[in-house]
Amino acid sequence: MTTTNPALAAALKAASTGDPRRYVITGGPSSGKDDLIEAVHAAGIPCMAEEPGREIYRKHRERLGRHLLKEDRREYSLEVLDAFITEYTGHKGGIRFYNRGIPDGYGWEGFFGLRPAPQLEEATRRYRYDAIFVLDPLDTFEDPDDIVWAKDREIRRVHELIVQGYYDAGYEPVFVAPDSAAARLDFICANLRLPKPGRGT
Amino acid sequence: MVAAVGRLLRRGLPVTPATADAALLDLRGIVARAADPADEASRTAALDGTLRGLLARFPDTRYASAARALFGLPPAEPGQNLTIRRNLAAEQAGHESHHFRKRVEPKLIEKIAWELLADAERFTRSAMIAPRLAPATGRLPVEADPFAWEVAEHEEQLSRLWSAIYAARAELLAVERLISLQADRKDILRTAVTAAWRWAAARAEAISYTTAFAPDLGSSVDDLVALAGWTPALTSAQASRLTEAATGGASREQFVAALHAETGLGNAWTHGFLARPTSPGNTPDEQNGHLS
Repeated sequence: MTTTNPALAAALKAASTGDPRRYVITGGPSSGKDDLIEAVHAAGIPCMAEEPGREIYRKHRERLGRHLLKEDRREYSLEVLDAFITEYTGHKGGIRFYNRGIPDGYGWEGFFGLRPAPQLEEATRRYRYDAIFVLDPLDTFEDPDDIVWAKDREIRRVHELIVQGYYDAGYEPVFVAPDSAAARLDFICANLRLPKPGRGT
Repeated sequence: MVAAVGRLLRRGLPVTPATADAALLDLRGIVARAADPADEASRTAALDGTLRGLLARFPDTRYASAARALFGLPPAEPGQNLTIRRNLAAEQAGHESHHFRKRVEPKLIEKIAWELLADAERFTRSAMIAPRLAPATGRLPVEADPFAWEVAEHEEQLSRLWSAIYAARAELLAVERLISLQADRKDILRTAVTAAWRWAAARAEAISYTTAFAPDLGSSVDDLVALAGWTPALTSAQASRLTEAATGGASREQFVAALHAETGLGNAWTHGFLARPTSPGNTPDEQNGHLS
């Protein structure tokens, strides 16, 4: 487990009285995002606890009693957007990491063949993040013939649509290569000129 | 494709409608990423994003920085002309400019073209082809992620759809085999009813799948169930009636009971098989037309 580096803790404390700095960690399923978010928490870096989309998805499924259809997905997407805006506006100062960000909505809507909602476009313009870190999938399929499951193919498609969503939103994401969660967090901290948690003892 | 990527070099990124070749804008990966696939500007933005993503993750680390500079990404700056970008790229790669332009640059362009084609392949969606199966090398838990839940559910539905289509195909083949064998008429009729049940269940699955996951796919319910094999001609109302009787995982007995009074429908199905030119003498009577 990553331990808090005193230098990192000091840097976070110094930043906490300054302007808000918001950093998104995103990527498709199987990108190792959950492990990295756990490492961020373990390092004592302020971070969103859980992606709000999960609970909202469960709630919609329970209410509908079936899988989401195209029209349900729009409603779901807008509710998730509201949750992300609340997360964004609730942060008033210092560094904070986000488990996905508002432009992930482009990936979701693109995946289901929906045009981006005007609310999503407006929120993307208003609420800007300071850096985007895209976790590339841990499973690499060098040979397209290796992708035998529709699921694997779709997961790769989700990932690429999320990436495109951030480009559409005017960001230049930083790609984080597949590696251990600790190594990825060190890479991200180095990119943000923060002391690396992995060196903390 | 290589020439189209090469033409992008003159101006570098960002891609503009003036520099984007139709061959690139029509790639499946580009169309799939575009917010509005029918709009050229949207596909141009998608091409720009795809190239930026590709160059940011350029697979050849030896030349990654050079490839980025060549296309105008850092360490190059927006607006620099090709000569400046090329010189910078050569420097990044540790080559003399002339050597770089003649020997390295064409290979980088070729590599990018290949990556774009590989990307397009990943976006190929062919609902008309059954998913390939491979031995599981281990348990594959579904990640707690709405995207992963949706993708897993998609594959569940896809598997149900294809299992239903293959089950219908098996029974339709069995009917034809029994007719060819000149088997007992009762056996043929019993199998034909089983085929009707399986075919109707496949149609119900196809409706469920296309409604939930592929409303814009262009593959109609009829196109999907036609893959099971030949069936007697039915009116739309008859096909709907059969489907209704098989919906919700109805057993064969429940299916037959639901259609007990449908003599016309039973005749249309069974006569369709038995009245074929290969078996001209086997015309069933009205009694045999009952689905039983």
